[in-house]
Amino acid sequence: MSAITVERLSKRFGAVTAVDDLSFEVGEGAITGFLGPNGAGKTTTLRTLLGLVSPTSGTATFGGRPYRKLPEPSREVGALLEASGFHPGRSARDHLRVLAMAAGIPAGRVDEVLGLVGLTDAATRRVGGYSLGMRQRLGLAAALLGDPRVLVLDEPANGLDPEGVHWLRVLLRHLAAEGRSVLVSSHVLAEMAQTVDHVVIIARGRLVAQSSLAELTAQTGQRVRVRTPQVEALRGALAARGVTVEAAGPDELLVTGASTEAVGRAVADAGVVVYEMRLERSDLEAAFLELTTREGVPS
Amino acid sequence: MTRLFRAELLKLSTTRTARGLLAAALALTLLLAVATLLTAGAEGNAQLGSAGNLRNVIGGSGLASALVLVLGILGMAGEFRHGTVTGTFLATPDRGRVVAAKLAAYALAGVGLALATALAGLAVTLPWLAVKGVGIDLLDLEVGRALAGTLLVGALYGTAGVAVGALVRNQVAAVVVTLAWTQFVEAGFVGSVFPKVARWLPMGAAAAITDPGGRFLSMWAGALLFAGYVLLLATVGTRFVVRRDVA
Repeated sequence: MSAITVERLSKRFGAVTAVDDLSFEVGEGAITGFLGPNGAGKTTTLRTLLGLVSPTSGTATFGGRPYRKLPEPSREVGALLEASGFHPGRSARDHLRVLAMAAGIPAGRVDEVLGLVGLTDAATRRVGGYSLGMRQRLGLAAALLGDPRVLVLDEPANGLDPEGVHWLRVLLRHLAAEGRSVLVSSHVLAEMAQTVDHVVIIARGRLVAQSSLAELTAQTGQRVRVRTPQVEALRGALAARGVTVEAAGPDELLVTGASTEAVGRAVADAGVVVYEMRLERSDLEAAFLELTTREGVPS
Repeated sequence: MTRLFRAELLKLSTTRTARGLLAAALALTLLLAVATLLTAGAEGNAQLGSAGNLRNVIGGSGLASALVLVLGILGMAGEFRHGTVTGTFLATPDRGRVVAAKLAAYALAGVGLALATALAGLAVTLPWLAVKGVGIDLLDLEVGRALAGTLLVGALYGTAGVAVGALVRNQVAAVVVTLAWTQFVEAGFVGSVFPKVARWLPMGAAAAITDPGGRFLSMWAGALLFAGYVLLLATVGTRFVVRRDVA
């Protein structure tokens, strides 16, 4: 069973459709990146998933139940939604004590999670004096308070320095290794590429792609670079197979949308000489840009 | 429910807002008590040591209740102001229970603040009267009623503040709207143009609890009417909070 199931979810704010007939699933025990440009509807989707925003139509469930129907939500789902959710005059420890009290979590857990996110030394300081990075850590501590099996994190890397982003990656991998399911949103793809197992990409509130990271980079923007003295002969053979070919130099072709196997067979059929053939894998960034602009969305 | 109630009390005790308002209420109550004692018996004021005099000292002329109202507004609208409402509703998705716990917690806070100011007023008054050689009977029914009324008003104002904060989620707007209503609409306009209507409005009804008879209703009628207003505000406010998106 999926940890999270979003089915035909739509949310309109007046004339604006923030989420448009969106469906996707988040598998158990893996990290799923929830990606899209700013304004794509990521935060609205996550807030709807967590029962803070009512959907116009559709459902979002955790193991079949909507968040608001979970008997002990903090023990099943941990969420980090925004850096500003703190009273500036309250200390980090008191903030977590309040949440623990409301959720029926033993107070001893507060110091555990403070240690887990590295805030033990700053625990009694008022949050008003915290940096953005420290607030993100406190938000993560709040998400982990109930030792939940599922984590929903909205842009957790925002405000973290490079060291902090590295720390976050290690933490997320550690949490997934413990069997937890993580849904993590981001508009900065570089920080996610090394961390996620699966991706759900949205643009303009709609699903653009859902796949494993490996599949995504393979199916989008994968190009084969071929160096041959018989450019025109090979170009004709490839074009006959319905493959996009462009010249990359006097003796080079760039083939888009075909595997190396397919190009190899075309080479054999055409009987051309090949000096070099190389698969160019694009990174997540390129795949993302390609997918979201294909939908006509400037990113 | 108990854990939500305790969580609300923990929220109250872990910022400086409640302590600051309590300090302000105590300081102003002491000032007013001294003023009341100094001017007792002059220009139609109640005689020193009389029931009316003691009532003014204990009730602080409704000063504590105004601050309790602000405390309640900040307690509810402040959750939206600081975004803590997200964590609150994530921990307890049943928003109706959250608002109910808050209403109860701020009723208790209102009682606490009213009791503290009443005791502060008495702490100045009793030695003052002893020095002046005025004997009073603290077990007098009027004194007991004044104290009970002050505590009841504190509880209802705390609840009313939370209800207003639920209706008007912008805390500055909520405080401004409340002050505009109590000071200008009710006390100013209606009080001077339609004085007979004023006793039926919320502040008029609340005033009857600590200052019954005369231009106000009886204590019980005022208490019931004010409680009715608070219940109405709380019901509508809760529906607002339950239905609206937390975006």
